Amino acid sequence: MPITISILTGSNVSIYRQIIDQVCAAAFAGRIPDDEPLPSVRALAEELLINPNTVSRAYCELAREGILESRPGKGMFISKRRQIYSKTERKRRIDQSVTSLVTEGLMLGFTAEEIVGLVASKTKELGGSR
Amino acid sequence: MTNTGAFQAIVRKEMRENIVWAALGLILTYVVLIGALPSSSAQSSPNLISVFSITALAAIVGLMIGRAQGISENRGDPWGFLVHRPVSRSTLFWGKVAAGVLLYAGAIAIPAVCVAVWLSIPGRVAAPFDWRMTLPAVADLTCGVAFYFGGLLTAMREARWYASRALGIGVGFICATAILTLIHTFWLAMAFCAAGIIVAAIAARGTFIAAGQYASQSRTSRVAVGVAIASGLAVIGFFAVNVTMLLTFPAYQLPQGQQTQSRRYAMSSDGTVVQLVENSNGDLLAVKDLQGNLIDKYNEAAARKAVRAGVSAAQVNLNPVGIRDLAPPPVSGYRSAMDIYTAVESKNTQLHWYYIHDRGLIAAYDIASKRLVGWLGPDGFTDGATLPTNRFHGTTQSFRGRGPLIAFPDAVYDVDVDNRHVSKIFDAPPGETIVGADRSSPMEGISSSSDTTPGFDAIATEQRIYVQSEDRTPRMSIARDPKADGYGIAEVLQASQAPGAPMFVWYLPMGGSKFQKLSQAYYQPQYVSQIRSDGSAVNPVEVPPYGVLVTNVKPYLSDAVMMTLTMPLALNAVIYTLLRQFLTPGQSLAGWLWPSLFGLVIAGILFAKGRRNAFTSGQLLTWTALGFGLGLLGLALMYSLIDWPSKESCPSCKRQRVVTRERCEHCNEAFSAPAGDGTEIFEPAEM
Amino acid sequence: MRSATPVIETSGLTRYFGSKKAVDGVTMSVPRGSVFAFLGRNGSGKTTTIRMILGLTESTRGSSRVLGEDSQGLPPETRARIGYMSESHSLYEWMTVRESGEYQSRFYPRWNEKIFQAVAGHFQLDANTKAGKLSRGERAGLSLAITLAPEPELLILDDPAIGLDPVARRALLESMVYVTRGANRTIFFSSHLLDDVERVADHIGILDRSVLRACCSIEKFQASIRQFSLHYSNSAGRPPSVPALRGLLHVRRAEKNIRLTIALPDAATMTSLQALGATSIEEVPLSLGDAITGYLGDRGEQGSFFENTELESARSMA
Repeated sequence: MPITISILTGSNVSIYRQIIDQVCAAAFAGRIPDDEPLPSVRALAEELLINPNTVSRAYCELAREGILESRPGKGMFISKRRQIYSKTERKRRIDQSVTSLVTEGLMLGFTAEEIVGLVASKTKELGGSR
Repeated sequence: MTNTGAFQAIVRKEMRENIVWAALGLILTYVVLIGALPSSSAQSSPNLISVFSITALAAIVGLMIGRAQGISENRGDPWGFLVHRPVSRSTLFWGKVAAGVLLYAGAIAIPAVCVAVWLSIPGRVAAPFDWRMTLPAVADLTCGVAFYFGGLLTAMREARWYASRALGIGVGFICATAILTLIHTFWLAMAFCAAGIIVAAIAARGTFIAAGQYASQSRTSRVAVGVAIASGLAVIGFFAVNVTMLLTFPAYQLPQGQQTQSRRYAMSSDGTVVQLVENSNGDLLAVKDLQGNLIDKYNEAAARKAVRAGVSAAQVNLNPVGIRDLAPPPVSGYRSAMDIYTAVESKNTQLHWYYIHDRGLIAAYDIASKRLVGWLGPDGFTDGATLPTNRFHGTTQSFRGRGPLIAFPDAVYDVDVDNRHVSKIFDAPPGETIVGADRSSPMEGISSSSDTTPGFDAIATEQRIYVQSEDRTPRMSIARDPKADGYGIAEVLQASQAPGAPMFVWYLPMGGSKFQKLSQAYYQPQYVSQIRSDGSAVNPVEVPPYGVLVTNVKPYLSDAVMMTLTMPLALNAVIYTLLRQFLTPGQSLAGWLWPSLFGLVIAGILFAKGRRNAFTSGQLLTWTALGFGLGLLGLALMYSLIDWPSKESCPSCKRQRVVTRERCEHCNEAFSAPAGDGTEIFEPAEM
Repeated sequence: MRSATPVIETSGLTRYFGSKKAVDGVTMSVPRGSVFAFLGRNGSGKTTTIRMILGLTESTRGSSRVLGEDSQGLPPETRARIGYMSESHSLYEWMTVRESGEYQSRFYPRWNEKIFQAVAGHFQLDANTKAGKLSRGERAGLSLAITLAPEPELLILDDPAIGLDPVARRALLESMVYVTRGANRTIFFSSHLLDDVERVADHIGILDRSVLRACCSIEKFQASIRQFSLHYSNSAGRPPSVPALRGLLHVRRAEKNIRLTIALPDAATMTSLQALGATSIEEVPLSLGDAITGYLGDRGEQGSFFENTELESARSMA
């Protein structure tokens, strides 16, 4: 099943960043089959009604980061050996998400233990058994 | 034209968009033409040619269509939509013009041709119809094209006030004025209109291409626009001067008791040549002898009135002439039926009579049925439309449609249309050619019933003048006076109340072959001598020329001021050169001096104005010269054409500089880029 | 094809109307293949600039070139490569949809009837309706159809979305994205709809009261406009007045807080901010729309312009 990317205008996240984030998330969650190409630049641009240059730049960035790879004549595919982010980047990203998760949890009146428990069960559910 | 498909598309689109205006013009033309159709009455014979004099109509229809085409998409987004397509603006312009002229010509020509065809069917109007009568319509149609371009120019031209925009119509006005008053030959009229059209078309094209701006046009079209606008200014100026004259009329009236007087010479009832002094109303103030002394017996007004009692005269031409000479323009000419026929006066209330030059016959038209009913020729009257074989030969030498005599080079006929009778009264003697003939008539009208002296006919050949009684009895003949060689007219006079009822011949220079211009004739003396019955001339008198007859007319200050203010020096140069012979050196100098000084002042103003607005030296020179040559007209022209640039203080030299130049005209400093406020975000110049 | 040559290049382009400057010294270049959004408030001179670029209006000073040709006197061959749609979507009112297409096609050596039909179909235009009878959106559709059918290399759209309903606007956007299919097609458009700009534009130019203030890529612009929120705790007292900072666009003041929108902040800016004695300084992420609105708005310190305006009804309630 090909991935569905949707964008939101007027957000403080640029369209370019939105595409990268969504492809990353899908790749990380394993929702993109290895043997199926991503939508072409033109197709995605026309689908989302955005500038093809933006799509193309996002794909380039994803390829540079090692998430996507280009197979000549076939299109963009999810990279087999996906070393998604550098160590610091990974740290930064998880920090950002944890901060927002914990803030939200505390605000809603959950205890620290409850939050940790929820995180553990969710991790199990999404298949991160490591 | 590289893209004919595009051109056709433009033409079709323009036709479609302006067909309504053309339809309006068509209806208007029908209404005007049908309204102008003459109605036959017994009093006056109808004149068909006036139907086809449609100058004003053509002007209005031309203007209407031109304006409509120009105004519809001359600015803003419609202009962008019109010109942003892959054809040159020139092609767009000519596409518009092709459609516009076609519509305009159709609107005028279709009704005109219909009316002409209708008129050409016998039984419509009791007058001859000839296709040449439609020539005025052709000339007017052509003239209207100049108005069409004037309309386009007006609609396209960017001008600050509407009056100045409309000035482009001036070319049309000048063409119309010229063909209505000055030019009497069809082809000359067409040529004049063509010249006007070329100027107006170049001006309209240049203005269209430059989107209504003046400054960015090519030199040729700038000149054409200038000429067009100057024409308009001249027309307005002409009207303005006339209105001013009208409003200030009292200033032009002579001081009390100082009326203009004029003198002329006449034969008195006692057979002497006298000088008549008249005021501008035509009242006879005094009768003097040739030396200028008052003649006592005419001191009484009643006696003065009878000064010419009993004198009758017949006027004959002295040169072989054509119709044009007999009836000089504007009486003749292509806008007059005189070139085609002469209406013959008649007391008959059933018929109209026309002498048709080409036919050499007099046609009779029935007023009731409006049909040609017969011909009057040398053999008398023939019924029906069939042309009689025997016709008058040669060019008519003397025929005014009144007086019964009609002269041809070989014979003179007495034509009596009322009795449908023609009789030959004179045959040219061998070796002589008749040039004129006339029957005598009393000088003072038909006042004195006591006058029982029988009338006489005078006939001039190239050598002699013959006088015979109305019953064809020869009375006398006299060789023409060699002194009057090349003179135009001879008057044969009889003073029937003088002892022996003497006869005289009076030679007048007017219309003579010797004089290129009428003005020259006015400076020739007139010769009068008495003729004895044996053909000898006695008592010759030399009468002073006309040219010095006008007295008591002084130039007035208001005249001089008006002249100076309104007459461009260039025009003055032309006028004063033409009138040189009439002017005293003082008048001539004044006529040159004041306009020259005034021209200098205007030239100075234009020069200063140009300097302040950073004109190039070429522009400065042109405008200064125009100011000098055209005076106020030059000033008005400058204000009509130039779109004054706004000015700013130069940051470098602090003087006012025009904003249209890249660099300051004073210190050559370029304009600086707008000041930044630190928030500018630009891509690095080179990546 | 040297894609490095800009398709539009102006230098000191200036236009006066009388003594008023409508466009003041605009120097910009539009890269080939870009989608360039030309922004500015109403009356800032966008339309006049576009008209000068197309040679429809003369410039008072300065020069402009399109596709390598001087704007004044563009040869027909160059005009054939430029599609232009004016603000009012000019059409001949009496022509039907079909006639409008046929008429326009007579002028263009390359006319793609398929594109015309596709766009007309997309806007659901009836071939026999007269242009004068079309709705605003349909009008835009027809205008777009005749503009796109010659497959222009450069498309200049003057506020194409003005007055369009959301469906027509979407169709317009689709058409614009469609145009970018061709290699090196450039779109230069003016707009007030910042969502559309965000979607399709990759370069922007911003006119502020007849002066071009920005001309760069979207990223560069977005990276250059930043907003900082300065918090003042109770002990820190009232927020101080803000000194003249270089690049300061906008100051919004609340009781315990000031928000500063700043163009091109650098190290010196940060030092100045720190000197304002706030308890904490936090950067607020900005959307492109916010960045543009902040850039276009009035400069300097602003409260709500209703700040000192009480509602009459509120007063009577009290």
